[in-house]
This record gives sequence, C-alpha cells and structure tokens, in this order.
Amino acid sequence: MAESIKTIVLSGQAQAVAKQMNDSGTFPDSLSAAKFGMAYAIKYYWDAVNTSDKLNHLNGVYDSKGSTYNIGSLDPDNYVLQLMEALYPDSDTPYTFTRVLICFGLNKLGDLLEEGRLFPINKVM
Amino acid sequence: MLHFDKMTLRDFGPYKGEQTIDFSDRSGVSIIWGNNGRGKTTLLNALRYGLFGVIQRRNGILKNLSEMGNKEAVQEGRYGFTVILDMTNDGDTYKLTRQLKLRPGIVKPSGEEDYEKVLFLERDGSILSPEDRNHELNVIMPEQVARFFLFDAELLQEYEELLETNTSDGEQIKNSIEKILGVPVLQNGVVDVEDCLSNYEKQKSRAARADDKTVQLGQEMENLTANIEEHQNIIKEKQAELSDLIRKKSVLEGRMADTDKLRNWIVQRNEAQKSQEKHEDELETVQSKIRDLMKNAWRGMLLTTVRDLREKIEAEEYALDAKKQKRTVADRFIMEMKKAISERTCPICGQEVSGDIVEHLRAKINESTNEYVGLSEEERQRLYDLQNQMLAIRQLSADVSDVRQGVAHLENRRDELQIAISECRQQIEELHDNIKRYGEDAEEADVLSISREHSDVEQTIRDVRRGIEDENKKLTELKMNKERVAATIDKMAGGTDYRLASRKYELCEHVFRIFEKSKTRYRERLKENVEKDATALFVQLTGDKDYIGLKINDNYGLEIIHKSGRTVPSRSSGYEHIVALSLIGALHKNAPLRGPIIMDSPFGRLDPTHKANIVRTLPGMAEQSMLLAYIGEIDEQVARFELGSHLIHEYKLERVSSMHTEIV
Repeated sequence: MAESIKTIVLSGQAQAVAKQMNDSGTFPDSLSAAKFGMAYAIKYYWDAVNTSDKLNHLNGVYDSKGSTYNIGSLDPDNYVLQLMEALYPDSDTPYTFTRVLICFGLNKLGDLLEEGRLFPINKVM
Repeated sequence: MLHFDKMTLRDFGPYKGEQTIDFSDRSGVSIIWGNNGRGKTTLLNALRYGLFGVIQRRNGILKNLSEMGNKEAVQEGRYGFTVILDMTNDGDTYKLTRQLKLRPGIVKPSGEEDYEKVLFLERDGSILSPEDRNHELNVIMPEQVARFFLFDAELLQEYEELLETNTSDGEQIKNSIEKILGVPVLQNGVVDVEDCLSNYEKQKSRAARADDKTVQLGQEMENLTANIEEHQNIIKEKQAELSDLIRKKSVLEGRMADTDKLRNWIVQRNEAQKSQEKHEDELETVQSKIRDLMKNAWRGMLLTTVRDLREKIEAEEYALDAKKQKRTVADRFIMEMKKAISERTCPICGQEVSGDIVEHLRAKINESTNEYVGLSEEERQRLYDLQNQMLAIRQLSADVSDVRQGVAHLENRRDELQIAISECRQQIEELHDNIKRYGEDAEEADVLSISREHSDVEQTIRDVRRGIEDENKKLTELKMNKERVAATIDKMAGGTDYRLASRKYELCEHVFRIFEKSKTRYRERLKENVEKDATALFVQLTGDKDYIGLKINDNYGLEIIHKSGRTVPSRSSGYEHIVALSLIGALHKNAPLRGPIIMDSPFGRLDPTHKANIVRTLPGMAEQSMLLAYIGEIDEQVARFELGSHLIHEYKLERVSSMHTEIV
C-alpha cells in the first residue's frame, strides 16, 4: 500500500539550487529543475541511492525548509510513482523517496553550479 | 586694390583680450608662425568673420557664433568677441568693426539668442548707412570670390573639380572665377541690349500691324514675339531654379562630405541594432525551445536506468521461466515412465517391460523428480511479480526519448547568439560614443536625410535641365517662324513707319551681336591670359623642364602639358596644389578686382624645393600676402632668404594656456 501523502517538501538547500536553475532560463519552472535533479541522482549516483535503507537514512538528513509541491503537479501521469516502484519494489514510500532523490540530485547539481560547470546543461544530461 | 593694414581681435577664439596684428601699409609678405592648435585657422576665420560675418569650420559653417568667444574670457565674465579690420581700397580708408555682444540687459547668456550682431563700416572717417555699407563691402570684397583671397591650402584639391564637366562644385568654382574676372559685367550688358532689341522688335511688329498690307502678319508677329518672350521667361525661371538647385546640391554635398563619417556610423549603428534585435528574437525562441525540451528531459535521462532495470528483470524472469519449463518437460517424461511401470509395456514401442527395466525406470523417476523440482511457491510468486514489473517498466520507456542531442544543438545556437548579441552591443556602444563625440551638434535624422535630399535635388536638376532643353527647342522653332514672318513683312510692308522701325531694330541687332561677340571674345581672351599667366607661374613653381605648361578648358580647369605635347593624365596631390596656386595667381593678375592673398597651411605636402619656389613666387602673385604656417612647415631661414625685402613682418602665435594664445 503506497503512502497517502499529497505533497512533498524540498530541503532549503535543494530549493535554492532549483531556483537558480530556473532563474538561468534553461528550465520552464523550479519543479522541472527538481525532477531533473532526481533523474541526475538516479543516472549518475545510483550506488549512493540504490536501496531503500540509504534513502530512508537520507530522508532524515534533509530539512523541510524548501517549497512544497503537490503530488498532482509533481506526478500528473503517475510516471514517477511507477519509476519508484520499479526502482524500489520493496518500498511503499515512493514520493518520500522521490523527495530524497530530488534533494540529493539538486545538491550535486548545486556543486556543479558553484564550480560553473552546470551549463551547458546537455553536458550533465 | 584692397589692402589690409591692421586687424584687431578682442576675445576671438584663443586670442584673449585685445590683440592686434599690424600688416603694415607696405606691399609684401607677412608670415604668421604657429603650431597646431594655436589659432592659425582662427586668424583666417577672423578675417572671414570681419568681412562676411561667417566662421568656416572643417565640418561646415559654425552655427552658434558665440562658441568662438574666448573660453577664459567667458570664465572672467566677458562674453562675445570683436574683429576690427583697418584697410584701404582705391585711395579710401576703411575701418570695419564686427562684433558679437550681449544684448542690453543680459549679464550672463543662456543661449545664442542672448547675443546680438553689430556691424559698422567707416569710410574715410564717416560711418556708412547699412545700405551703403553692404554695397561697399560687396564692391571691395564680394563673398563669392573670397575663395581666391582667403583659403586653406589643404583644400586646394577642390580645383580638380574644374577638370570634370557638370559637377556642381566645378560649376560653382567656374562661376566664382568668371565673377572675379569680371565676365558678369559684360554679360549684364548683353542682357540690357537684348532688352532694347526686344523693345525695338515690338515697335516693328506694331508698325507692321498698322500697315494695311501686313496687318495680319503684324498681329502674328506680335503673337510670336509674346510667345517667344513667354518661353524665354520660362527658361530664365528654370535657369534661376537650376542655379539654386546647383547651389543647394553643392551645400548638400558639402554637408554630406562633412557628415560622411557620422552618417556611416549612424547607418552602421542602426544595422547593428537591427541585427541585435534579430539575434535577441531568435535567442528568445531558442531559449523557449530549450525550456520546452527541459520540461521532460529528466524522463529521457532515465532511459538507460530503465533499460538496465529491464535487462535485470528479464534475466531473472528468464531463469525462473527456464526452471519452470524444465519441470514441465520432466513431468511428461515421468508420467510416461510411470505408465510403462504400471502397464509393463513401453508406451512408445509397445514391447513388454522387464523387471530390470522397471527397476531402472523407478530409479530414473526418483532422479528426475529430484533434479527438476520446478518452481517453489515463492519462485512462482516472484515470477508473477517480475512479469507485472516488466509491464510497468515497458510503460516507463514508452513514448520517451533522449533529448540530449536536441538540447546540445540548441545550447550551441544559444551560445552563438549570445556572442553575436554581445558583439552587437559592443559595436553599438563604440558607434554610439563616436556619434556622440563627432556629432554633438548634428541631429541624426537630419544627417540621414541629407543623402535622400541630395538624390531628390539631383533628380530635380535633371528634370529642370530637360525642361530647359524642351523650352529651347520650342524657342528655336518659334524664332524660325518669326524670321519667316519677318521676312514676309519686310517684302510686303511699304509704310514709312515700318521702314523706320525696321532700321532701328536692325541697328540694335547689330549692337547686340557686337556685344555677344565681345563677350565671347573677352571670355576667350581671359582664358588665354589665365592660361598664359598660370603657365608662367607653374613653370616657376615646378622647375621641372618636362612640364612645359598648362592648358585651360571651358571650365577654367588646367591640365599639365608634357614636353611631348601630351597632357599628364593623373597628377600627385602636390602637383594639384601647385596647379591650383598657379590658377589663383593667374586670376589675381587678370581680375579687375585686386586684393591680398591669405593662405593657411600654404605648403601642404610639398617638398622643400617646391616650398621655396612658392615663397619666391608669392610676392609676384599679389600685392599683399600673408602666410599662416606651422613652425617647420618651411625652413625659416629659407623663407627669409627667398622673400628678402618682400618680407614685411613675422609674427609668432605663442601659447599662454590651452585657451589663450598671444600674437607676438
């Protein structure tokens, strides 16, 4: 039985990165930047986020000072849900994991941003 | 002959306070030495301002005269300036005072309108009325011929225009040349006699009309005369219009040349702005496309992960499926063996199964049962789960594509556009600075409209010329008709009045033809004299034996003649300078109007030999000459040696500050 949460809240740090990415004009909105962060974490840092245990641990690390997003906006076609179920079949907290992956990925992208290596964005896709 | 005795300046340009140059009443040459920026051209302008009230800058006439006031004097609260010229002409003494001063009641000006222009001319101690003053000034130095008296020698190449035909500059110079040579006086005579002729013609027509035998022809004659007059008037109007247009074209060409650089900058800046806008529009489109792609780019990034996941599940599913299949095959085989044991008959070949074989079969059944155990219930569940997961994973990659290449392409284009925009901005900024610095007083729209206005004027000139040609054709036709009618009247009319009128007309016609021929011969003779005198000067100035003289054309343009008799096709700017000086010298010799020559930067690009030749020749060119030269333009010792007793004065323009020069 999947969790019944209706929103997710990003960490303050991740939110700041999403905002900067959005401000660059490359993303249509912060939410797209956030999902980009999630995909980046899965694609390039799978070893760090490949188990539910690791994600549960990280969930406790990130604060909740960032923006709140509706699940309906985040995942209108349940793609993210299906992805989480495929990646973490033993878990029943797909959106919690989604939040963790977003925060993790955005933090990593934030490092690139600081070093001036985030753009052109196609190099990190 | 006009002679400048003295010039007094008060706060004019860098000449702060009151300063005087004494040119002396003697004939000869004065040299005023001054380095760049010290005010040599300003002295030339002081003379020009004194005589004509205008100040000529390289980029045109100075609009705001108050700008000519001394800057330090302004800081000290003195505004405006004064030029006083003491001169003589044909035995009369003149004192010309021209001033720009604050209007009464104004202490500190806020603009040009706070100044007023003051002009006095004293002749032999009496102040002349404005009408007399203007007339007198126009007699002693008409502005139209000033170019032969006061000139910047660096601009002498404009005389090259005389070698071309139908150029407005050339036409203007030609008119000035004819003016200084006195051709218009004779031309006016021709026009006056032509008027008389026209009156006698009318009298003749009236007499013919009064004669019974030629009443109708007389009427026809009058009509033709009126018609001819009408066309002549139209031609006169068109010629006046043409002169105005040519003058206007020349002014526009001057303005175009002055603002050429500025206009190019404005055009370039406008093009750069358009280009920037175009790039910015495309950039916005590219950014928008990038944003569109980035909305779902994250899905494409997951494709490899999804593929790895699918491969992993497929492998596990395959293994479980294989295990399940082996058990199915084994079950069928065990069933056959069990049947053979129970029926003691082989189900395949139908032979009897012996006891040994039954034992062997039982062992095989045990072995197979142990080896192909099939899926456990957990494994069965797992296989089921895997199959469901597979369905979900296939969904994850359906309709998803990797947009990385597309984004890369767009980002490359975006970078190119950003660089292009940045270059445009830099270019615009530089051009903007140039425009601001160079064109402080110029309205951009005015500058851009000059070339349009110029081509409009050129078109109108072509139209007017065509109109004149058409009118001349009509006129010729009418005159031929008139001659025919006149001949018929002469044959038919018998009255005394007509014969008398006809005699008067014929007499006047003879006078008219004499005037016309005289004008043509006078002009030809002048040209011959100018050619001869210019040649003499040229030979003196060049000293090159290969060049034997100058040949004059209808426009007073001079071509250099080689000793082989051929004309020299292209000449250096130095030779252009010498030819122009030769022409000016020859004009001074042949003109009824005489006056001083004042030359700014007289030696241009000439070599020392030609410089010395010019200095030596100068006293013969005009009774009074003034050279405004920078120190080193010619060797001072050479100048003194060549001029000898003709050197009257030497002045130096000494710097006190960047805004203050003293004449010493």
